[in-house]
Formats: sequence, structure tokens, C-alpha cells
Amino acid sequence: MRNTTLVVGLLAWLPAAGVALAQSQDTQQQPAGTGTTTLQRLCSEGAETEFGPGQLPNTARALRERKRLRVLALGSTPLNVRDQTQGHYTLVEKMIESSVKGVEVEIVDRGVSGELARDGAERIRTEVALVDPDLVFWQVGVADALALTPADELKETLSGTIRWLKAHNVDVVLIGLRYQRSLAANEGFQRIRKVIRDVVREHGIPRIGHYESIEALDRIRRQQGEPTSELDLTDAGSNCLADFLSRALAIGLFAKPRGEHGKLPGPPPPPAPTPAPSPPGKDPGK
Amino acid sequence: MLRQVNAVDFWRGYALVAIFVNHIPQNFYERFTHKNFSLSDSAELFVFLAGWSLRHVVGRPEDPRPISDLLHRLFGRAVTIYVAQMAIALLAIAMLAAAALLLVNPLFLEWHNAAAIFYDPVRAHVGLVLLSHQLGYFNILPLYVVLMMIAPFVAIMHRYVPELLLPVSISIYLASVVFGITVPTWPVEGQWFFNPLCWQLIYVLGFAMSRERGAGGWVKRNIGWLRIAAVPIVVVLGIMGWFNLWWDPTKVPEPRLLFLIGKTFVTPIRLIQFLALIALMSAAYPYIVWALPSLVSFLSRLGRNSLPVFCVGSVLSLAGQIIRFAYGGGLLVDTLLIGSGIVVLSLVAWLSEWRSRKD
Repeated sequence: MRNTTLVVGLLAWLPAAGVALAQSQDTQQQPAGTGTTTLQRLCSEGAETEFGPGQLPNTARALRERKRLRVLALGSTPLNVRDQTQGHYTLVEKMIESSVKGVEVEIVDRGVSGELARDGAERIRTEVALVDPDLVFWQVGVADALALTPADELKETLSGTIRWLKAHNVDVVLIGLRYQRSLAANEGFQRIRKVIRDVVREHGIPRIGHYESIEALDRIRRQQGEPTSELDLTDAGSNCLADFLSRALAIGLFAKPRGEHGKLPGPPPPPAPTPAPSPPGKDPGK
Repeated sequence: MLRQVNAVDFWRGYALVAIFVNHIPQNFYERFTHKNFSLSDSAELFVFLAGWSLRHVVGRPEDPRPISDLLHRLFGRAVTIYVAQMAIALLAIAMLAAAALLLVNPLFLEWHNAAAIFYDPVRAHVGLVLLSHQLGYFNILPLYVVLMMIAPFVAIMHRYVPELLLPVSISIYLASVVFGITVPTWPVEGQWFFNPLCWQLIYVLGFAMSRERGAGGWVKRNIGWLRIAAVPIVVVLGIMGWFNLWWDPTKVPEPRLLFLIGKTFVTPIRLIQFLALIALMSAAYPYIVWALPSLVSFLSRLGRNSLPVFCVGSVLSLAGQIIRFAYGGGLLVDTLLIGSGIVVLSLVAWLSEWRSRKD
């Protein structure tokens, strides 16, 4: 019964809380008519995520039994562009806590910007021993893409680390590469992206597919004749990540998949002067 | 007058080259630096030798430098290193911005912890000046600034209560490791990559080992059997590292950092391995001088001019990373990058000494 309440609470409140936060903060930070509505919708509807129900068993157990969730965050620390008075992960903590009453969420950020996956994989074991998390958010791929890490090496590193985490009863959500228009045709960048997708599928863990969502935003804006600059896309990626993480958590915990890629049913979109975005996921690499 | 070729300058020169090579990750030559066979890497060596060099400032026991002179020199050195850190950080930021513009790739703006500089500039610039915001691979000089700030206390304590120096340093280290005390970063939440509360011990050990009395004297008297004891430590830990035979970190008892392997806290296992390694390598120097005198001369020159060489090396390694991404890696590109980089480092050292001679 208690579990059911938690499920209902998350499903009902998490998207709404995300939208409310996104709206209030975006309104403060962004001038009108800058594509905010489209961005809000993409944030609130959630990124493309690859998941299956019950993919976060240790997280679910922590919430059910302890009402307390401890998350270890690794990789580059995302900036909270929309509200710089608080850290990005503080925002994610608040989003989850405000959605489910009585749940305490602690995100311990041990990110080292520019760290390759191989170095993060060495450190992750130590950090897990020290932090004792239920869940790991691992932002991975950017440093490896820039350092030209061989795909095989990255795959081996990720797979080995995910196996180790699973063996130690720690769930993991991978935060993959972010969309960059200038790198959309970059072979090395796309190779790293494919490795991350392959590993996620192989191990059945959630992935934050903000690449696809921001790519969709870019496509829509161009169709509207209002191309977005690369920097604006970067901002959009940062703005949406907190929503994506919160929603991926809910999806990985409770939702049933819809089709190959699942999406949480979001709230009705705000009135928009622009056409609704086509579903993200037109992935050239598939 | 320039110092004669010596082991300290030689090993410092080696550390400078190794840091330069390691800071271009995934390059072909990275696999040949000693970090691949050792728990510790060049950072420990660099900090240890900085502590060793403090003896030149402190002076001989029979002819100690006046305290006022000591304070003036050490605080002056701290200011010099701080200014150097500001300069190379600014250059790095400009290089990342230029790379983002030229290669039309905003990822460079977020690389190596630079995101806050570009997207949260008001707070990040304050953090940069306060050293609470550090770029990736540009985080060892902030540690040096802190070490130079504590150096006068180290020197004074050594002069008046030498028996307390190591116990105090070890106590601070153990308190940090046992209770997980660290120095936070700001505005990006995190911690200093090189925790000064722990790394100060390596600096103090370097200084203590350089002395003829106390711990340094004891080590010099017992170096023979210490080297014998060091062999299995280095070999066994090297094999365990190579084949990834480490124990499960989640199974070790509390306080866990005492039994884990980590660079930020330079945990005890890493520290012991480093001390064992330098005990062994110190024996190798005479043979290296005999076999490769020109290499010793070359690296010693780099070591004698460590600050300018380190600064230029840091900037060059970032340039190398950007160039690798732009043109792709591979043996040819990596050889050109590493080869030209070492030539430039040598030129910087030569220019530095040429200026000194002219002055």
C-alpha cells in the first residue's frame, strides 16, 4: 500500500513539479519568445530514455524501506544554468523531494570534469565504498570523445564498471553525450555515442537521452526558420538535464515502457504558438 | 651561478616531462610513463622534491638562514606561484574559448571544469582568484601555493622543535584521511583534486628526508635494508595494479580511506608505495648518470627551471589535447606533439638560464 502511494505520488507529482520549476525558473532567466515554450515541453515531456520497468531495483528498495535515497554523481558536474544560486544536483534533489513527501534524497557529487571513463571507472569503486550509494548518475563520454578514446576501450570500461556496480547492489543511470550540431556528423563523436547506447542496451540500464531531445529542439527551431545557436543548445541541454534525471528516475522505478523507448506521460503541454515537437528519437545511428 | 647536475633536478625534470605526457590523455607515449606500473605518479614525485628543495632555502644546520629572510623568500615564492597559476589558467580559458570558436564546438567551453567560467562567470572568476575553482590538469599549482604558505611554519618548526614536525604533519594527514576532511571547491560543488591536508605530508616528508638529522638521517643510515624492503612492495603492488587484482573496496573496514587507493587523499597504500619507489629509484641515479649523461644533463636543466617549464608544459599539454581532437591522434601526430613539446620545454629552460646568466 505504501509502495503504491509512492508510485502514484511520483507519477503524478514529478512531471508537474518539473514543469512548475522549469516554468518559474525559465521565466526568470529567459526573455519571452526565445523558444522557451518548446524547451519547456521537451523538458517536461522528458528525454528519450532507454529503460525497462524495474531497472532500478536498489533505488526502489531504498525508497521503499528507508525512505531515503543516496546518489553518487560522477563525470562533469552539470551547471544549473537556470538558477546559479544552487547547484544542479541540489535542484534534482529538490525536484524529487518535493514530488514525493517523506523521501530524503542526497546526491553526493564527486565529479571530476574532463575525467576519462577509464579514470572514472577506477575512482568509482573507491567512491562507492566511501559514499555507499543506492544509485550512480554517471555522466560519461564527452571527455572520451575529445580525447579520441578507442570505442572498444570505452565499451570494455563501461561494461566492466556496470557489472561491478550491479554486483554491489548499486543502480546506475548513464548520462550520455549531449547534442552538438557541429558534431552531428563527427565520426568519433557518434562512435562514442553508439558505444554508450550499446552498453546501455546490453546491460539493461537507463540512459538519459538528452542528445535526442536537444536534437529535436534544434530540428524544430530550424523548421520554424529560427535556427538556434550552438550556445543556446548547450544552455537548453543544461536546463533540461535536471528534469530528465528526475523523470528517468521515475521511469526506471515505476513506469511501464511504451514501445521500444519509453516516455512518462507528461502533463498537458502549455499553449504553444509553435507546432508540437515530433517525437525525439530519429536517430541516424540506429 | 647554475647548480651542478644532481639527482633532485634530474628527477624533477623527469617528473615535468612525465606530467606533460600524461596530461595529453590517450596519446601513444602515455603508456610508457611510470604511472602505468605504479600506484603513485609524477605528482607525488614533484611535491616530494619541492619539499626536498626547501632545504636550500632553510640553509644548513650550522649556518641557518635568518627567519625574516626565510619568510620573505617563501612568501615571495608563494606569490610568484600564485601569479603563475593565474596566468596559465587565463591562457587555458582563452585557448578553450578559441578552440570552441575555431572548431565550432561548444563542448570545449565545458571541458576541464571550464563550464562555470563561461556560464557562471561572476562567481567563477571570484573562485578562480580564490583558487576554489580550478581547471582540470591545472590544479597542482594551487596545491603548491598552499604548500609555500605553510613552508615558513615547516621551516620554523624544524628549527625550534624538529621532533614535532613529522608527528604534527602525520596527525593532520591522518585526521583528514580518517574523517574524510577535505577542502571544498566553489562555485562548482566538489573538493580540491589534491587535498592539501594530505599532500602536505609528502612535502614535509621530502623536506625531512633531505636533512642529515632526524628522520632523514635515519633513512640515510638504513637505506640499504629499506631498499630491500621496498622491492616486494613495489613489485607486488605493481603486479596487482597491472592485473587489477585489488581487494574489494566495499569490504574493507572503517575508516575505509585508510585501506583504499586514492589520489585526492594520497591514501596510505599509495603513500607507502611512493616511498618504496623513491627508495629504489634513488639507487638507480648513479647508474643513469653513468649510462646516459646527456639525458641527465637535459632533464636536470628542466628540473632547475621547474616553474617556467611546468607552466609552459601545462599550456602545451592543453594545446596538445585540442590539436589531437582537431587532427586526430595516431603515432605520427602524437610523436610530433610530444617531440615538439619537449623541445619547447627545453627551450624555455635554456632561455630561463640564459636570462639568469645575463642578470
